[in-house]
This record gives sequence, structure tokens and C-alpha cells, in this order.
Amino acid sequence: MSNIIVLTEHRDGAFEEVSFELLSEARRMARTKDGNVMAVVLGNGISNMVDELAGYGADRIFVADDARLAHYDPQIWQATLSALCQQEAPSLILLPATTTGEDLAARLAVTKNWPLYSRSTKIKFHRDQIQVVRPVYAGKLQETITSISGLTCLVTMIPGVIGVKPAESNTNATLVPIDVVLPIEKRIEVTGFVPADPHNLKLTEVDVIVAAGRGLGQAENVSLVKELAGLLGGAVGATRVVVDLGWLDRKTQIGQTGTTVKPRLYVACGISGATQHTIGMKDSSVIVAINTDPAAAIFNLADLSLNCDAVQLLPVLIDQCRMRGKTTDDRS
Amino acid sequence: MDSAGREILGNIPAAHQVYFFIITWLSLAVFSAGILVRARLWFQGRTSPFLPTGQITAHTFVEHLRVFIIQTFVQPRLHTSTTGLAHVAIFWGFFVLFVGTNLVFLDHATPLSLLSGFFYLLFSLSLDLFGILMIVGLWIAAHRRFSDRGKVDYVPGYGPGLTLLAFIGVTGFLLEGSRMSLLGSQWFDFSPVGAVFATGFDYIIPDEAEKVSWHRRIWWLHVLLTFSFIAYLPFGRLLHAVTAPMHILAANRKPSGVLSTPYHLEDIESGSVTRAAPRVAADLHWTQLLSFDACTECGRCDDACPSLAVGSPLSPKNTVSELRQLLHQGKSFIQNRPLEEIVTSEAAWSCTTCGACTHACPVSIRPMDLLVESRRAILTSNRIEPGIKKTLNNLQETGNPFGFDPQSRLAWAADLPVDIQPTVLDPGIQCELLLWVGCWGSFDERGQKVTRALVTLLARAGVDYAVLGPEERCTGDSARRLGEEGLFQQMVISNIERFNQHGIRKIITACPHCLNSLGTEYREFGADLEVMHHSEFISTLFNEGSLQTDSSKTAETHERKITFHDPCYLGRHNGIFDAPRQVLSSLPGSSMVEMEASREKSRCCGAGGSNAWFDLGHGRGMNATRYQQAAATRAEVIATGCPFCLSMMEEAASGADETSTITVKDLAELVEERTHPFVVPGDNNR
Repeated sequence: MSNIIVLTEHRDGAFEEVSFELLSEARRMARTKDGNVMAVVLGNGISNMVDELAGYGADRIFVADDARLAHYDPQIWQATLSALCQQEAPSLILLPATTTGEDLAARLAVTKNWPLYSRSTKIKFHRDQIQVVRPVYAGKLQETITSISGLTCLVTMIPGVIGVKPAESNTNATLVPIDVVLPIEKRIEVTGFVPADPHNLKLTEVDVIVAAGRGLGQAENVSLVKELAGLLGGAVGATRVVVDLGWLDRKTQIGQTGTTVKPRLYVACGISGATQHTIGMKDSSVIVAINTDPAAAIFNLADLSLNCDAVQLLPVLIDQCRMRGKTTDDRS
Repeated sequence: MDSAGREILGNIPAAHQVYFFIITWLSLAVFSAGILVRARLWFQGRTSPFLPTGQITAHTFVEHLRVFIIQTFVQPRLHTSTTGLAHVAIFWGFFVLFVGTNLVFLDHATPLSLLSGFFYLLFSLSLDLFGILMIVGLWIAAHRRFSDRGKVDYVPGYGPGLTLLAFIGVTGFLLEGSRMSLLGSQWFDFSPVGAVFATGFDYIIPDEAEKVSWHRRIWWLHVLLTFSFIAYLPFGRLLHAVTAPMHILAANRKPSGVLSTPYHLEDIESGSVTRAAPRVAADLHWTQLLSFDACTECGRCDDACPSLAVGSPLSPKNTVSELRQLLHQGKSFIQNRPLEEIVTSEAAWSCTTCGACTHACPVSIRPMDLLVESRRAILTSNRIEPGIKKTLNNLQETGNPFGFDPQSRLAWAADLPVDIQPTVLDPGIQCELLLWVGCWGSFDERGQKVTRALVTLLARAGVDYAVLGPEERCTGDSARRLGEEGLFQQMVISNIERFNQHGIRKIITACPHCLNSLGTEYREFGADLEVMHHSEFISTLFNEGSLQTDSSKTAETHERKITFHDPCYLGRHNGIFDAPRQVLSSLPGSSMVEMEASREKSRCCGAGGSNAWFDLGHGRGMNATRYQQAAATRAEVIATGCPFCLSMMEEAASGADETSTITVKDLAELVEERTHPFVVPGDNNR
């Protein structure tokens, strides 16, 4: 018996990438042991999207579609998942190492008295045991943990590490509706959900940063950066000079004496690329640099170097984003 | 003239003389007890080695004595203001009267006959003149306090002592006048002030018997005032008359850029030292505890502090004052109250270790050192800002504060023409002259340009030198100034080992921070290096004629004005002021213009003391302030000789008025522009 339960995560009617990562990984593991992969989808108004999971190797898809599951309510989610675990007796429960996944995993671990290996980066069956690798001491070391055989384990995996394995579609996947289980004593009332405003997110948390440099010329032009950041769902960053000039707040400062960031996209507008700044953003996945000076040091780092005036280019980019935004809106 | 002199204790009946001696000994006993109580507190501090400078050699003894004489008797740091000059007057008046009174005592109580003949006349005239000097000084001080009330910040607590002193001075003259009126003297010319008072006396009290009783009354008044003063001295603010000279004599005389060594790593490893960082005031050196009592709160440190000037929560004066208050709270507080409760972390991290406070202090206190001591204490508690943590991690792991791959240390040389390429030392190869590139020069985009300019110059002058390349590591300067003494010493040990492997004795560097640590701080760890700043080296190249200026490019253009910003670690801390000026003024088509605050008075750019690596949100704008001072000279070029200053000033320049055309350059770049190019065979691009 090597059944694996995978908790999926979704947002705005689409599954998060990590759901596919975990499912395909579970599929790979289950194949070595001839086990089943069971995906769990909890939410409200989600029934029509669950089929997609079969494409990543789920044998059974447990769906609880209920208004009470609209937002993450720790007690209801725990009770529902607990009941399912009771019924299916899996040997492994995989959860994403996200805010929800980590919280739920910890709760299950306590109530079920199961071991929990949090924030793992690798996982495999080692005979009938589970073996995981996880970073410790702030990533300086990796520890390998092997579970005691026969014990059900909870494992949370860091999103984006293992990647989505080539899909192994399962045409025989069955859809199993499950009931919401309510906790015996309700202690938490989830009253609503306030989406984060990208402007208020910490710079280290956003995927896109549009950063302002002295090359923008004057304080008013910072509004262009703000606008583009807003359209891209990102945040505004700044160089020290811009902060010293009072154009932007100190908490937006990126670099040696500011924040170190690693967003997926970094747009540097009018930034020359002094080491004190680049040291704080050089590990960004994609760097787009806009600067009038062809010899600007930032171009040595950039994936896309745009040798032009940011003040002239930004309105064009903003227009483009607006147009695309409209067409997306029209489609939906 | 041989008969000149006077009777001591004339007109004072024998019974009165007995009371007089009882009072003398009583007041001296109170004075001594007061000083002993204070001394017991000072000696709660570390006493080994007895002097902070360590072993007392003939050389250090002379140095201590020299500074003692200058700072105590000449007081050059007070000459800049009227108040300071008033202090010099009060001091000299008080000092001469004090010595004079002691001579009277010696003359009377010992077989020595000092006060006779010419010496008596000199004594008499000096006491009169210096007595007037003291009263004038006190008058200026009183005038400042009372007429400028509300406008000036005067330090409370000095009133009683100074008032007593004024009364002693005035009653002294009254006494002299009454004595001269009573006993008469043929040497009136040598007691001019006394003579005036004597004439007054003759006029008011012509009766001889009255004169006798008035003389006794005034004598007693003067005696009682004087002995009250002596007894009061250890308990009031004028205690500094004792503690300041004591501290100046015993104080740390290491160069201001050399921080104290709280322990040696090998002593920690062998277990003979267990406390790695100061936690309480008792962990400081006893001279530092004495310095708290030597502080007069004159505020010269605060006036000099560039961080305070831009609104940082740092006041060197308050730092010392608060420590003095702690001292007054007594032994258990000195031994138990955590240092960081007094020298707060906000204050400690706001310090740029520019040393302006240390250089401004008239009584040799080193507030900067106290702030670093507090950093050491804070660091062990691990409550530190992420930027600081990151920097320390980077130093530990990559050997540079930025966190760059040490293998990329030669990236600056990648595009250099073959003839300019530096020789990189292979393991075991000996080296006469090392170019220490430093972390900024190796990794920072801007610093790399300076390094390229410098090696171009070295090639032009045909200098035979080498670089360590990927072997080079930070000197540890940042670690030490962040309070991480252990990491600093680890880096020192491995660097010295590397120098020894290559037989390195002579180093040039473009970074004053590296210059300071390699040249001065490394000595204590057994390094014997001759470290030169590139300005000094270029200056010798010019003098030797191996580097020649090229005026061809400047013929038609107008003469440009250059102002030099003195980096703290080059100027104030290491006394190198002239070499960069010599180099810059010898450049064709250029003239030098000085900022108002230059040389010793130069203001910090804001990046020192490792402030380049973290930001607590206050104390920003030091670079902008300095930039404004430079711009006020109307210079077209701001030259400097430090990568920290260069980056800070350049940043200030880019943040300033956009129409400004001021450029910021390292002096090596300016020299490179205006010296005869090195002809590279077959290189047509040049």
C-alpha cells in the first residue's frame, strides 16, 4: 500500500503550478510502488476545472465544492482532509510549502501524530520508507531524512524546485465528490479575504519590480514607473539616489544598503548600475534595462538592454499593457 | 635687589597660624578622599596593560609627554573661540597662582629660601599679572553666560566652582593690597595690581590699627575660600582641572584609526581570555573610565560630528556624558549595566568612525572608540540589522563585503591591453612591490575604472609590481568596524601569512581603509609593511621623473579648478594631506582650490565605519552636505583618493542639481588623463 494524497492549490479559477509539480512527482513515486495518486481539491465553484488534474497522473480526484471552502479556513480544511485520510489511509500526504500548505500540514501532523517534513526539495521512496532532502541552516546544508517504516508521513515541498514532470495522462481518472466536514468546536470564523495590494507587498515577495533611477530626470516621472508596476502586478523599486532625493520612500530602496530582491522580472528605468544598486538585484530572473547611456554598467547584467530614454519608452509600454489587459478582459 | 622679599604669614598671630594649618590639612584630606573615591571607580576598568598603548618605551614616554605639554599648557584646540581663549586665560591664571602658592608653602615650611631677590620680584610680578589674566578670563566667561543668556548653551554645574575661583582671585588682590598698605614695600613696581589696591586701602583705612585687623579679616576670608575650593574640587565640575591633565598624560596615543584590540584570537583559543567583547563599562580600559571624568562637556566633538549634523541619533558628547553618569552611579552599575543600554545601538551604528570627535577633543577622549566598543557588545547579542549580518557573512564566505565570487577578483583587468596587464602572483613567487587592489577596486564598476587608471600609470612609469589576484581577500577593516573582532583577526592572520609566503614588504593601495588597516592596525599582529597610498606613490613617481605630465591636451582649454576632498582614513587618521595635493597641483591645466573644511577639518562622506553596508534610515545626506561644501568652491572637479568617498560623492553629484557639471574623480584618473601615454606597440586604438 503506497497511496499518495496530494493537496492541490488553486487561485482565481486556475491551479497553481505547484499542484502539477506535486501530482507528477507523486505519479512518479507511486509507479515504483504500484500505488495510487489521489488529488484533493477543496474550494468553491471549482468542479469544472478539476479534470485538468487527470492530465498530470491523478488516479482519483477528490473534490469538495462548497461555499464554506471558498477561503482557507484552517479548521474546516483540516477536518475535511483528516476525514479523507482516515478513509483512504495513505502512506504519504504531499502538500505545497505555501502559507496554506504549511499551516494545514502542521495541523494534521499534530492531530494525527504523524511526522512532518517541511520545506523539502527532494522526495523518494526508500524501500517502504519515505526519504526527503531539505535545506537547513538557512540553506547552508542539506539534510536527508528517512522516515520510520510503516508510518504515514506528511511532506511539504518548496514550490518551483522539482518542476513539473512530463505529463502522464490518466484517462481512467475518477472524480469522487466528498463532503465538507465541520470541526466539532468552531474556534475560527473566516469573515473574508483581502487581496494584497502589490504596492504594499514587500519587495522580496513580488514577482515583478519596476525600479526608478536618477535617469528619470525628475520626480514627476516616477509616476510612470508606478503605473507600469501597477499594470504588471508588481512593485516599485528605487536606487539610493532616488530615495535620497525624496522621490520614493526608503522602503523601496534596492541595493547594498536597501533590500536584496530576486523577482522574476526586474525593469530598471534610468538606472546606471552602480555596484551598490546591482548587488541587490543581480540575481533577478530576467532583467530589462532602459538607459540612454550605451556604456551604462546595468547593460552588462541585463537580459534585454534598451538603449533609450525611459521617460519616452515607459508611456508606450504602459499603453501596450493597457491594450493587452483589455483584450484579456474581453476574453474572460 | 637682593633684599627683595616679604615675610610669610606676617601679621598673623601664632594661634591663628595653628588653625590655618589644621584647615589646610583638613581641606587636603577632603580633596584626597574625593579623588580616591573617583580613582576607585576608574580602576574598575581593565588595567592590563596599564596604559592603553601597551608597553611603555622611551619613544612612547616622550610622545605622551609631548602631547601632555601641548594639550595641557598650550591648549591649541581651544584657540578657535573666545570662550576657548577665556579658558586658556583662566587656566594660566589659576596655574601660576597655584604654583605661586605652593612656592610660598615651600619657602615657609622648608629650609629652602625661594622667595628672595630677583626670583621674588619675578614671582611677585607674575602672580599679579596672571591673577589679572584669570579674572579677565572669568569675566569673559561670566559675560558670555549672563549677557547671552538663552542664546548660548552653557554647561550647568560650573557656576559654584568658577564663582569661588573669582572670589579667591579678588580677595587675593585685596589681601595683597592690605598687606602692602600695612607693611609697606619698596618693590611696589613689581606688584602693580597690589599697589593699586594698597593705595585704595591707604585712602579708605588710614588708621594703622584698623589696617591690622582688616588685613587679618581679609586673610581669613581668602584662606577659607581657597580651602573650600580645594575641598570642593573633586565634587564639582572643576574636577577636570585634575582629571583632564591626568587623562591627557595616560590616554591612548595610538593613531586615531587604530581601534583597540580587546583580545587576541590565540588567547581565546587557548582559553586564557574568555570574554570576547565588552559587555559592561568595567570591560573598558581604566583610562577610558577616567576619560569620562575628564570630559568637560565642551561639545567640540558634537560640533565636529558629521553624523549628528545630518540628524542622526548620535551625539559623541552625550555618549561620554551618559557614561560619566554611569560612573557616578557606582561600582555595581559599572560592573553590571549592559554597555548598550548606555551607548545605544542607534548611536553606535550611526558613527562613521571618521574620527572628527577624537581629533576635536581638547582632553584626548576618543568617543569614536567607545561607539565601536558598543558595536562589539551589540554584535555578541546578535540583535543586528540584516545588512550588517549579510556583510559579515559575505566577508566570511567570499572574503569581500559585497559577496562577489573571489575568483572574479581580476575582472577589472580583463579588457586591458597586454602591456598594461598586471603580473599576478603565483603561489610561492616573491614580490617586491604589491598593488593591493582592494574590494572596491576589484569588484565595484566605478572602483575598477580607478584601478585600470592606476595600473595604466604604473605601466607608463615602468613600475615593477604584482597583484594577488584571486588570492586577495579583504583586510578585515569592515569586520573590525562592525565590531566583529574575531573575524577581523582571522582575516589579518591569513593575510599576513599570504604576505609572508610572497615575501611582501611594500604595498601600494588606492583605498585609505586598506591603507589604515594594513599599515597601522596590522602592526599589532606582527606585520611589518610599508604601505603607501597611491597619491604618495604617484608623487614619488613625479619627483623621480619616471612619470611625466603631458600638457598637450590642455593647451587650448581653460584651466580647470580641482578641489580635493580629504578622505577621513587618509587625512585625519593617517596624516596624509600633502601628497594628493602635490600630485593634483602638478597636473597641467589645473589649479587647486580648497574647501573651507579641508585637511584635518574635512567632513566625512558618510560611508566610513562600514556605513556603506547598511542603512538604518537616519544620518543620510552626509554626502550631499559634503558635496555642497565642495560645490561652494566653484571647482569643476571634485578629486578624492578613496573608493568609498568616490562613490558617495558621485552619488551626491547625481542627486544634485541637474545643470551642475561637476565631475567626481579619483586622483589616479586625473593623473592618467594628463600624463604622457604609454606607447603600446602595434596598438592603433590608442
